[in-house]
Amino acid sequence: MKKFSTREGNFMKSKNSTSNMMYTVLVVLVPFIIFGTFKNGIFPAVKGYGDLYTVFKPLLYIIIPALVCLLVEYLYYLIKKDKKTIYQLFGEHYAIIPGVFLGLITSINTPEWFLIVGAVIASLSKVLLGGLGKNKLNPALVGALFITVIFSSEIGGYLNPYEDNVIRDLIKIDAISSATPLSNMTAEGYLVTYDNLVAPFGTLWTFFFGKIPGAIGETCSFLCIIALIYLIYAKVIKWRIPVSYLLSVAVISLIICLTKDIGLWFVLFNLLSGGLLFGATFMATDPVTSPMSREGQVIGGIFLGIVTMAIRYLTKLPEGVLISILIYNVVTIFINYLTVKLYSKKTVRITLVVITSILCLLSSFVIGKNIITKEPDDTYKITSKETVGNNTVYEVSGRGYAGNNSIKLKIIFTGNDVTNIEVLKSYETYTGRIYEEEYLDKIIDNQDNLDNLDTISGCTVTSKAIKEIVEKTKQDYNK
Amino acid sequence: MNKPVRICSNNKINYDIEMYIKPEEIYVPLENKNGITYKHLVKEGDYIYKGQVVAVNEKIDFPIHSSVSGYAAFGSTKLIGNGKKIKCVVVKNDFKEKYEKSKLKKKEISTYSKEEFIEALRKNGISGLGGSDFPTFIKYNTENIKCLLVNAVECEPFISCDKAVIHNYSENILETVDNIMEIMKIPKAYIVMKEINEDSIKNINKYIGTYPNIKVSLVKDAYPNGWERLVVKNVLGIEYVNYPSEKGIIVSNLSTIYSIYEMLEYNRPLTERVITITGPGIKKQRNVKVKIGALASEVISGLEGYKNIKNPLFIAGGPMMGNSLPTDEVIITKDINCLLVIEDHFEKNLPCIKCGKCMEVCPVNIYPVLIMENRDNIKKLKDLKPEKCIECGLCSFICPSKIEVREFVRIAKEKVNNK
Repeated sequence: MKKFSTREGNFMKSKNSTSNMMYTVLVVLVPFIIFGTFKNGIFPAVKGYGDLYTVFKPLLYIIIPALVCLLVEYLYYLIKKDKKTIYQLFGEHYAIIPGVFLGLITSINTPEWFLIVGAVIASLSKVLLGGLGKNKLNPALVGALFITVIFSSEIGGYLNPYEDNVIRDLIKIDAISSATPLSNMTAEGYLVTYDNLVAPFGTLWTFFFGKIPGAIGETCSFLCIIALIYLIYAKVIKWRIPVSYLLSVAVISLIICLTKDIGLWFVLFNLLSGGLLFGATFMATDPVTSPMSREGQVIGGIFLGIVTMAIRYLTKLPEGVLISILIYNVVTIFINYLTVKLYSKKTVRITLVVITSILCLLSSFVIGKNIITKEPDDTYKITSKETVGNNTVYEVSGRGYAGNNSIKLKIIFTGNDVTNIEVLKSYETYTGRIYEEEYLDKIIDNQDNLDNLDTISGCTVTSKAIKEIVEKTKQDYNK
Repeated sequence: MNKPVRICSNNKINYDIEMYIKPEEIYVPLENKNGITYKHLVKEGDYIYKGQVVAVNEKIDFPIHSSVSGYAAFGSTKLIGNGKKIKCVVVKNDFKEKYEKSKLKKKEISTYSKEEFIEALRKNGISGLGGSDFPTFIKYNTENIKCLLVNAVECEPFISCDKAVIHNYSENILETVDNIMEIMKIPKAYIVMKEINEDSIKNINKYIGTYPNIKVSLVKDAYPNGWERLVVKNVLGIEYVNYPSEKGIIVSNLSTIYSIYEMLEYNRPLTERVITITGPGIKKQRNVKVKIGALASEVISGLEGYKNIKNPLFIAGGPMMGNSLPTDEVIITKDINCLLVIEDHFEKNLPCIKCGKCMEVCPVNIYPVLIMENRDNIKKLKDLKPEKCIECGLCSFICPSKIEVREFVRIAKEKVNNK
């Protein structure tokens, strides 16, 4: 007789393991990190816009939050008297993954300490909600949301100080690009034209290869598509979520195209901008925070598409992906609840999928309602014009970022020249920047050559509007 | 329905069958793995002939026979395949293989009527050798049978006893299937095999030409393709509610067919079966013909014993659905088709990351992860129908966090069934 140990369960295990899945994701992210380093670090440095620190900044922006997340989890378990080694946290709790993602989805000109705070929040949102497998929200997105919302006024868009120039060098056109393509569009009052959305950055190929302003690692759609296909092939992610997400975005934009008479480039523009593919590949498919059943995944994906497009075209928030995925994380809790309830009711489940699809079709009419395809009528108005001796004093109002008549200026002409500009009233958020940059003085200095005067990155629309108002007043004066 | 899963075992085994039919003593447990009790019909010290009824399931009058001749003894308890210790009747083998006189007469196969055949199945204790231990006579006692499926799929890795039987006795199998079809008036039959068992297919094809109504049907090498429901679905495209007999189909395991062959040919009750003894922990991995009731420890020591491996586990059954047992002193009952000694590559469980892989492989389309999550909430459990689980173990197999998902589902199943 021979004794054996016993245990419950089955005795054959498949080769796939959670570690493999997580490491696969990390390996798949390497090209993105390389791309981010090239785009945000090496390229500007080569072009002469930065020093050695610039070269390594993107890399640091990924390593720092990763290490911060690791440290936060280490301390958390230390305080809980459940000490875990660094290796355990790395290999069993995958503590660095939220940090890596956070680095990839933040802007390069986020100050370092914002990033660190964001990483702390991200990591805390994971461990405080129960740790691996129990968190209800995607930790990286919580951190990113925290950074963008709390510090939004100070970050000033996604654009590098030098990126502006880089892009111009790159595509050799004179247009002035500001923030991301989508915030451009929102800023212009949902003006959807090829010239407004795509042309400033080149062609859709520029979008496809990611040479547009945006977060460190998320802009390259080409890499995202390869990663998506590979991850689906390797069965690391659930294919239904990204596919239904992308499809619903495509369908909504297609309907908008048809109803608003916009070219089909709009469909591709929506798919390729705003980190949509990155979100669909890595964020929406996070196993813990996405629906479990097949129907749930399809419904979740379509829901994501609707919310993303709604945020882009109905609200003042330009980038819809981040917030829509967080909303979807919350909805996932409900979807998973329904999954239990509707287990034995297949017809109800199918009906729900059909209803969501129909909703997706209908929502496109609502989403498209704000979109305009022609520049809005100019609201430039001369409210008063007085001539006192040599001086002519104009009071004019015009359209800025905040809407019609949001800027009121007093412009004084002496002889042939503008000698003084004063802001009488402004509803603009970034008026402060105008003073900081002494923009009004710059206009006066360059008044004969206003076309070549750069706008201020971070408050492009306002600065551009002021420039235009001055230009128009000048035309009126010279008449 | 979810697709079956390919499971590679990389286990090559010789299909020759080795005889191991001289055990010192055999044990007749008085309860089977499904908890059905048997009443013993012999007393301490009785002389028992080979093939004599030792115990009987009184409810359906279904006997267990002694597979050797010798004197009966009582009072010992031994393990059976499900890990329970059961009281046994012991028959001390005198190696004379003495049959009762009446058992020696053979009835002409062509003279069997349907009723006589079913009665013979009962009297000879033929039951499903695929692991269900379901009395075959109940299965065959249905009207209007349109089709007989011989299930030789054997989808669990490592197990190869059916393959060995078909390899060695393909002619007898075909002959028996033909006889059964004649007696039961079944118009057609299929022998269902995995498409990768090329040798067995060749062997069957050698003889099948003379039986126009028997066809070979091949299924993919995937788990759990040998499950009755999937066999019927893959071969005939039919789905049923509870039993295949609803649609006029009988599914019989290949080894069961072979035991019917022995019954018809030698008028011999079910006293021997082929089992697979394999795994990295066994020196000589073989398919062995053993006496039902023999002890596994005796058979294995007859096969040169064990290899030294780390953390060996002794498993009755296959690696997916078998039970791990504390000792090798286990009775080889009718339902044991494999004894497996493998290394325990038990890995540390990680938290469930809700990847949903178990939902994607489950052959009955239940949601193992949600059942596991809601295991304390009986109301939600009822919605999730854990009672549909067939305990195939695919959820535990596929789980990337190495969680024993099936055990949770099993507990939930019991909870729901008891409420």
